[in-house]
Amino acid sequence: MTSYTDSTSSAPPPLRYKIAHLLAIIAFPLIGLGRWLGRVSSWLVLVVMFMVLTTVVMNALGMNELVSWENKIFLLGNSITINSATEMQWHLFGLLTLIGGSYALHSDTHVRVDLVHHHLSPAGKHWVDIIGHLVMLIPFCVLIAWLSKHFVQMSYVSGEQSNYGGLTDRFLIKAALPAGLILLAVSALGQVFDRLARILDPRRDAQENPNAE
Amino acid sequence: MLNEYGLAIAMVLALLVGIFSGYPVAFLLGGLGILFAFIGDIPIPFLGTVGSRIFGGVIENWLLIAIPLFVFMGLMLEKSGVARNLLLTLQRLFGRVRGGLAISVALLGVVMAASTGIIGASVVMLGLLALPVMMRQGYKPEMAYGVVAASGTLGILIPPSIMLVLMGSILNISVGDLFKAALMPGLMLGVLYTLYLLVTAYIKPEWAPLASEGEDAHLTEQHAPMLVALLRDLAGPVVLIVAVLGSIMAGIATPTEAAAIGAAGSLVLALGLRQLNWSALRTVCRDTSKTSAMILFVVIGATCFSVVFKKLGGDDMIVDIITGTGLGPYGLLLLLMGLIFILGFFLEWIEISFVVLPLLVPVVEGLEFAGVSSSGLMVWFAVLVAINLQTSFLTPPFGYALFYLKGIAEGNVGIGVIYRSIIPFVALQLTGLVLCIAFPAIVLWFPGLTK
Repeated sequence: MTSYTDSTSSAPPPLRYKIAHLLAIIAFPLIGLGRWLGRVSSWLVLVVMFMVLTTVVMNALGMNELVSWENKIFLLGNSITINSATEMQWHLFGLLTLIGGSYALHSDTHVRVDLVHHHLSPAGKHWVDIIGHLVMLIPFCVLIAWLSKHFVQMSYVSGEQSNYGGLTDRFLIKAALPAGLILLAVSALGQVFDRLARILDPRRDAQENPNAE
Repeated sequence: MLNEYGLAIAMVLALLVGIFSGYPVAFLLGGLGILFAFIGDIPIPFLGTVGSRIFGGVIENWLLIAIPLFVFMGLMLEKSGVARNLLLTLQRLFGRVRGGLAISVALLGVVMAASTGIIGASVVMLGLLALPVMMRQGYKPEMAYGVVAASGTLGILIPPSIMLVLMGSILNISVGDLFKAALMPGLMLGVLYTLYLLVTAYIKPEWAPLASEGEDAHLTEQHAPMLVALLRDLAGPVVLIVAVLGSIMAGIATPTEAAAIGAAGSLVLALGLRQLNWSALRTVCRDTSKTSAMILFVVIGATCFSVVFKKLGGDDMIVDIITGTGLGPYGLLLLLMGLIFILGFFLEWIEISFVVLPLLVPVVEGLEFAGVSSSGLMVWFAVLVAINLQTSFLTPPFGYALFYLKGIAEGNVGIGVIYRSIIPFVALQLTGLVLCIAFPAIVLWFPGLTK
């Protein structure tokens, strides 16, 4: 048995590395999606700022309606009022937050208490993530997303819209909640594959930082 | 009690174990909620309310939009060099006073950390900015590290603090009132720090050399004339902070509106310094998105945890335990403060505000204290919690502002030196906390909530 382990450390069986390679290939698009969406959506903070400033200015000038038109269009209805701008703020804020959750996952920004974690080996840290994702994060995301289906459907069927002449099609932002949670579950799944690949082939940890920008 | 509350107790224990594994707390909260819903046989449709609560409490919560905007403002001021210039100019302004540099750092901490909100981030930022300057000038580490840790954490108390925005949302009290209430205690602590620094520098001049005695003496000569430097480096940030705070406190602007103005103002200041380029803006936007998502996902996870914890009788259990002690109002207050102080060793203020605070509200609500009106009770309590948490983050051996500081310490500064440097500040903090408990008017006078 001892000789076996010795032989693995001097000349590792190629199979182990092949599996690691395969896992890394599966992980790549899953992680890439969350990271790419996160980078793009991070610009929304500027749009949110602009929207808030717009309402401040409209308020100060006593304006209510910016433009209006004949036929109802998607999301906006038939005019842009101060209430559309106000509601647009939290619509965009919601997207920023929900997508940002996956982005923060990939950059390891989420708060950890690292009194113990700090002293774990790289493989130990990977196992914490793998088990946590499979037992905690993924069930939470999938279940809450699935249970939100009803509340999105209700909103769609009843044609829910702003009570104050703001945005229409409220189901869109409601659907963003389950969509954001599913994105987070997919991101977590990608990390599980990635961490498994790193455990099987520790050279991968040295090659690249798992949490680059 | 074990039969009645067995699952609620198990849930708390599981949370503690999970937290120490180092798995992200936000996800742990959500996952444990689901897990215990299954263990406790809670009907699945009941969990459906979690989704609509998250929607109503986070996404549709207009107040929380202030969070990414304040984070953006803080990061922009830091990345564009506005903060660094401010420190250099303050240093020149106070350069002739012994201990002046330390006071400048304390001032910078108050102005800057306010907007970053995350303890780790603001201590690291202030440390990276100020420690090299202080060390070059020959400051004793025993003095320098304490100032950085204390002023870096003072930001969670001094408005516009994100923590106060969140507490306002949790406790259902006006953020404007909270800002007003926190201002006096925050300034009082700032004054206590300054007095301590001046006295120490007077007694032990070798701990705090003047700029002219250090290697940086040449820097004071190279700069623009004093008046220009003051206008350029000091006026901008000060006007910005005053505008943001003033408009909230005067009730002209909501916190969200003021935050947007602050964010836009920080962009203008960066433009004015010709420091606003594509890559800086991109970095600030990305970091803003990650930081605010990190905060808000704790809220999302805590929503799920609390719904299930409440269903399992956890809320009643907490109230039973606390009222079961038979303590009077002040005894209970000290008990709660002690509990929060200990939790502060392990958790950020985000988890404490979202998971612990709502559980304590029913206990506090019924209490009466001398000099505290019923409308001011929650405001007072929130400010006490804020001072308490800040102290907890600074207290050795666990205070984790200290670990962050150790992480960026130069050379062979041991954790022992950092501990020694912080102890006087912990004493000042506790003095401030005791004063605010004994004289609630310090907190409640400015918002006009005294009895």
